[in-house]
Amino acid sequence: MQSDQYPNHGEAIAQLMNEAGTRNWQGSFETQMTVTLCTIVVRVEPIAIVMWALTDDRYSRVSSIQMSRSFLGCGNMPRLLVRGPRRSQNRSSKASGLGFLRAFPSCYGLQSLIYQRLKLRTVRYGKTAKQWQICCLLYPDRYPPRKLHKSGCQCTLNNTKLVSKLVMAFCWPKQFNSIALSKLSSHGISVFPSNSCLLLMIQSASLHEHHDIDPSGLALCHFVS
Amino acid sequence: MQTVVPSNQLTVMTSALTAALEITDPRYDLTIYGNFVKEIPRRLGSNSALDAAVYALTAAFASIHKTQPSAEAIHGYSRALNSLRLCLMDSTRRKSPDTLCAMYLIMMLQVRLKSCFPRSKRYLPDVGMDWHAK
Repeated sequence: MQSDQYPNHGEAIAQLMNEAGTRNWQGSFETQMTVTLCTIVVRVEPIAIVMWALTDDRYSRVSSIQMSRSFLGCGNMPRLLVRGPRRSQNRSSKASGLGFLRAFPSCYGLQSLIYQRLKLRTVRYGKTAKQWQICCLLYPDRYPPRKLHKSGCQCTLNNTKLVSKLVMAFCWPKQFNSIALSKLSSHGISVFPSNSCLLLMIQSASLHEHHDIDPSGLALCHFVS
Repeated sequence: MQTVVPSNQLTVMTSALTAALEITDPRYDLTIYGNFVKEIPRRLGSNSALDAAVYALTAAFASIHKTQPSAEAIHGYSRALNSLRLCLMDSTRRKSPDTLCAMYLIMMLQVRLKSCFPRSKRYLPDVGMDWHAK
């Protein structure tokens, strides 16, 4: 029997990614692969909020407060934030440990809260030491999470694909692609871009559309969590 | 008169992967693993681990589609794993993006095979080696 000291595939990929951080990969194949491997898959909640925070040289010194302010300044975010605490008072949200959403209106310290919750790896690549910090927040809804566990797992692959495409659409050409936005909207995904982060809100209905997709995407969760 | 197009294992594998990439059914769509998968065909032939991983993926494809486990799928997986382990022990090839891609493909294939054929789990081991100790 294999000993636990030996890595599984996910851990091995994480090690290779760390080694890759010292190399300057510039090609589209390498870049896309890095993004895909850095993608955290949406968790098993009715509505999940995924935030991509891009920190390059320009943003590397941005404090969490500054980041939160830019976060607040984007599109429809304030309305969404106001909804957070009211729903977090529900019993289901307390049960799933989502009480931290009460901190949303002020938004101060948001970054540290996210990190504490998910303990994500930060992956660097290239000499410019770009960092992708991919965070996932769980947002409570009227459905108890347990009911949606399976369908949430099943949609992970599709979400991986969508998120990967999103990042390509929004972050490499540093402008917002209206076509990509409308396509995502048709998939039940709302996007709130700002200067330093990208927030996706994935609606519960979209989690139910893809029952045929197998949960292979969960493998990605193993190495980022 | 029948025309025979010269081929070798690489061209057969490349065409099999290209054909698989054309599938848009979300259940079997390979681009779901990332857009970079589309660029794999042009990278074949340069890294043995990537070649073996693609061979395993294409060999398992029919098996997954029919939901019937096949010896070819399991054999392809173990061959790919063996090739990957050899690559990981080579300090130069280990840092290649192709090796990383091969490992990713093998990981996804393992998850997929395990979910399709739960009884085959014991034939689908992890990478199971710590190359830092070498």
